[in-house]
Amino acid sequence: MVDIAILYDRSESDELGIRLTAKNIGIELGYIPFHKVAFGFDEKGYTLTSVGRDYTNTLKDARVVLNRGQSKNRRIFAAAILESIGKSVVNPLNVELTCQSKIRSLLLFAAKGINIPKTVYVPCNVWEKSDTREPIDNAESISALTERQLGSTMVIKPDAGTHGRSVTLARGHEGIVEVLHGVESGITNPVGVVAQELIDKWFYDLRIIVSKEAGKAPYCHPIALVRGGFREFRTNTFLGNMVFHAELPVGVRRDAELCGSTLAGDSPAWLIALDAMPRIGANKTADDHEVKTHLKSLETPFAEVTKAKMDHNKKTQFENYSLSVEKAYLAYKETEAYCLIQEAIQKSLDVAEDRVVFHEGNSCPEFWEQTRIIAGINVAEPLLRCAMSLLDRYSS
Amino acid sequence: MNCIDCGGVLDLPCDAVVKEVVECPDCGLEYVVEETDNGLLKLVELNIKGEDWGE
Repeated sequence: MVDIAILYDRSESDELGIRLTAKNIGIELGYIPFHKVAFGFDEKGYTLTSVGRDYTNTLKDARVVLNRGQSKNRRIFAAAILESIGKSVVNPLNVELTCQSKIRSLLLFAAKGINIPKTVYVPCNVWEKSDTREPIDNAESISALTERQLGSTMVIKPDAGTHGRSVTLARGHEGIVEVLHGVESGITNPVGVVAQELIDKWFYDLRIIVSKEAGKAPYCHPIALVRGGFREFRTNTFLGNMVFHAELPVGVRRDAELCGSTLAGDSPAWLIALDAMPRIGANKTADDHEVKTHLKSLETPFAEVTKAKMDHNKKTQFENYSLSVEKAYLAYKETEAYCLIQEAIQKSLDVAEDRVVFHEGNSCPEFWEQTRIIAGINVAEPLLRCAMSLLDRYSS
Repeated sequence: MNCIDCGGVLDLPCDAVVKEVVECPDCGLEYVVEETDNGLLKLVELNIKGEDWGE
């Protein structure tokens, strides 16, 4: 009987990394597919079957399930199903639901006094249908409402979104209206517009891992992944920015633990990746030109990282792939330019300890490449510890 | 060949044609039939990204 299972619709390197880590530390991990399967249920029980296989017993045996679907909505359905049949899930349904919405997350942070960017939510769509005429254009109204609170520079973003997609910097009334005209409602973001102040974060933001095992206090990993670059105001690595690491000041770790607890409510075990950024403003600890020069000299070793990550055989030869990516990242990390940038980041972060704002929580973080190698956090380990702690709860 | 996600056995149909999509019977993962440099057929995972995929 396998007590812990991993569920996903399709594996990426993170899911393969979790399976490899489990194998290396001697944990047998069951596998539950969650895409082309049928979950049948009535008052007498349930079944889970694919075209060629019956997974019902695998599901029945698993007491704890790591929910790692790529689709956010699929993760929400999976968590709802699993919890309804008595499984413990990491992350639980309430964490998935809260993390799916930036507004819901930020409202909870604000209520706890956690620093957040000034945020405006307008519950009106830019384009609304009318029975009698062409679609109504609400951009001018929404622009007036948001400008009144944020001024003429703001970041417009989807409530539910990832990898910086559709996150746009808008400047000036005309610019804001133009950006708003491109905001479309849909299944993922059905209602409203989200706008935020632009944080003067210098050139980087933070990815902070916080987790909680059953019976223990929340724990913030002391090292954060730093995403940085001057390409534009967004610093997501998905957009080609580089990665560094930084030691988190004690106050930031404390706030991160509060953020995690706030998002997770009374759930016994969870793991969340928080996105945060410091208000650096004029307190830069190095000259921009100097940092840009160092970033430029990192382009070649970082290109080697990108090349290693493009390996088409990464899933079939995962251990070899992982080794070659590690080698490329470590060569990048050992450069003088990396050390100089990291030093500037650390100094500025230490000064801005009280001015770190938290943006959102991610319930299913990517980690195998950047967070694991650069920040030294193999997220699979705390995830598996969370699962084990829930099992211990059953046996005690 | 075995499925990358579930380890199930994947059979390449004898009448398979290039670009045909084949699913793993055990988990449903999709593969596409591709031709190798020496003219043989192989199965390669089909990359799919959904609108709401993300962390």
